[in-house]
Amino acid sequence: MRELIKLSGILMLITLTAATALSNVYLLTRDRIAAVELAREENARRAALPAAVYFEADTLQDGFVLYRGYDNPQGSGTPVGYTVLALGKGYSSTIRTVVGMDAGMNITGIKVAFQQETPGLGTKVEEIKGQDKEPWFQKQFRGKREDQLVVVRTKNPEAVEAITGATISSTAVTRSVREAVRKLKEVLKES
Amino acid sequence: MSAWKVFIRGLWEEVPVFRLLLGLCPTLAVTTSLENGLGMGLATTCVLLGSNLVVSLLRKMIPNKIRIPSFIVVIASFVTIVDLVMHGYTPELHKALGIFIPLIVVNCIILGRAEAFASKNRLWHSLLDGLGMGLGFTLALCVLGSVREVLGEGSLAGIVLFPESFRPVLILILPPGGFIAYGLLLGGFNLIENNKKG
Amino acid sequence: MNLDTLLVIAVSTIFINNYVLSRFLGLCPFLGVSRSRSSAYGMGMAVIFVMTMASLATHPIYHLILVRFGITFLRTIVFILVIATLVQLVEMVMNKAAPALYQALGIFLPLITTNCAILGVAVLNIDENRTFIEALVQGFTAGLGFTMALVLMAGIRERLDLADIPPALKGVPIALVCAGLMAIAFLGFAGFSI
Repeated sequence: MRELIKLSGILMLITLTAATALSNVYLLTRDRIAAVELAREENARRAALPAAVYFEADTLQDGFVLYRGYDNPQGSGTPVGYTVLALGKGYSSTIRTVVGMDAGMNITGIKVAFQQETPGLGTKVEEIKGQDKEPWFQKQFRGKREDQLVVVRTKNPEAVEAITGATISSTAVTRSVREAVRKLKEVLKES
Repeated sequence: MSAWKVFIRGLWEEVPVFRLLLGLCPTLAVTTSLENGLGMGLATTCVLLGSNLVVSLLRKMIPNKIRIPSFIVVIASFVTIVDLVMHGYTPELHKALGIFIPLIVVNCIILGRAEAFASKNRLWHSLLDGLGMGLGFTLALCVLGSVREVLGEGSLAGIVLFPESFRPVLILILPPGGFIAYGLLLGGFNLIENNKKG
Repeated sequence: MNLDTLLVIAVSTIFINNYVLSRFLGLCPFLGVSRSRSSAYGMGMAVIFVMTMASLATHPIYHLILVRFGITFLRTIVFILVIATLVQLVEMVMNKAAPALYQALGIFLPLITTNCAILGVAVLNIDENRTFIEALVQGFTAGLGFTMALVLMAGIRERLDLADIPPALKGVPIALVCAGLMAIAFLGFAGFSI
């Protein structure tokens, strides 16, 4: 019995020390991690809606979040566009895509913010070819109408060209973007 | 045993991935490119150094009966520290390695070295052992990552090596290619060893 | 929450994202315990059991304790301790309540603590935002998928023992190549959109 108490005591001591040390490391890195995550989202929004420099979040009653983008850092005047987050179930992860739309409801761009698809296949949604500045797959979405957001296997200016060998990931992104666009239109019509 | 020998053992004689067949899950999962392999290897080395350090320091204080749970707590703490630091300072790598960072905890190499070496040896030797084994692991991951990236994607560390007409063997960066590439490398390793003996 | 979602999770966990063949989790037992079919079955059953229990235990602990107190960074350390304790408990209970079962599975239990598939399923349940029921289904089917891969592998390796293989490739190397070929077959499931 005495041994039991001694052993549990030592184990408890080790665990407590570990927990204390970890909380300190956590406190030291917490702000940095939060900043990294925020920057990642902010950069995605900027890429999707390049005309805006300042974004304001707006959470609607049903939990739908939309960002209004303004062309001035004070956030005054009418928004130049909106961004929303589109979630699509890909092959091995949920792909999070930021969709940008201007005031006239045209897609200004999309930016995949998070994906963990198969390396070499699904990850090509973020592939940048040659001298390009942005991923070719995501570039296709710019200026597309809602009814043009369908995946096809060939080059076609009226639709979205799938990534070879990664139809699931391509479809996931496209479908989620279409959903997001429709939802955003609906929401803006109501207000 | 001399200090040099303790260090060098992990790099060839007992290189964990090829000789002891330990730590296979991260070895296969993250070696789709040289960069990921290197990152995973270094993260594991940090945890290994930390756990060997603490285990060796505490080796006289931890009663035999509760040594395994104590080691696990120590290892898990270092894994969490590495996880937090990587999240803050190398966010892209952290994203790429994903779930395999918390899983460093169950990498048998680390618990294996704590149990087999650090809990019985002096601090200095334990540190060298951790460094040697960690670098050996990193090296193996880099070899596998390079092979898979060069043949499977046609690039190395993100730099394109071949002209456009080169068709990479895509299968090598997919999961099946991981198994096959590792199996064949292991075979090659055995061949060298057998020739040395014979 | 409906039956469809659960079925989708089950099918994709067993076939499409098989823990061993496409997620690379649990490889140590996959290569270590796949020499004969009987031990493969034993290990498989033990893994199914512990994985389900681990999902059952870690999900509420994460959401009710760690999230509530804002200490989610302790996830790794808490999960591994919960799993280690769980394995010990299962071992003791099984020894008392079902000695026959203990005889069959007992030797596999200590190996399970360091099986990364168990910690993997616990972490993935959190990362993928599963509900409690979904987590449970994922835990059970992940074990099922693991067992399937393990038993198939054991069947192949029993035959490999009789085959004429270059000396350098004997044992683990050829087993890995076979696992690769198996994984190629499983890639075929990837085309299913469910």
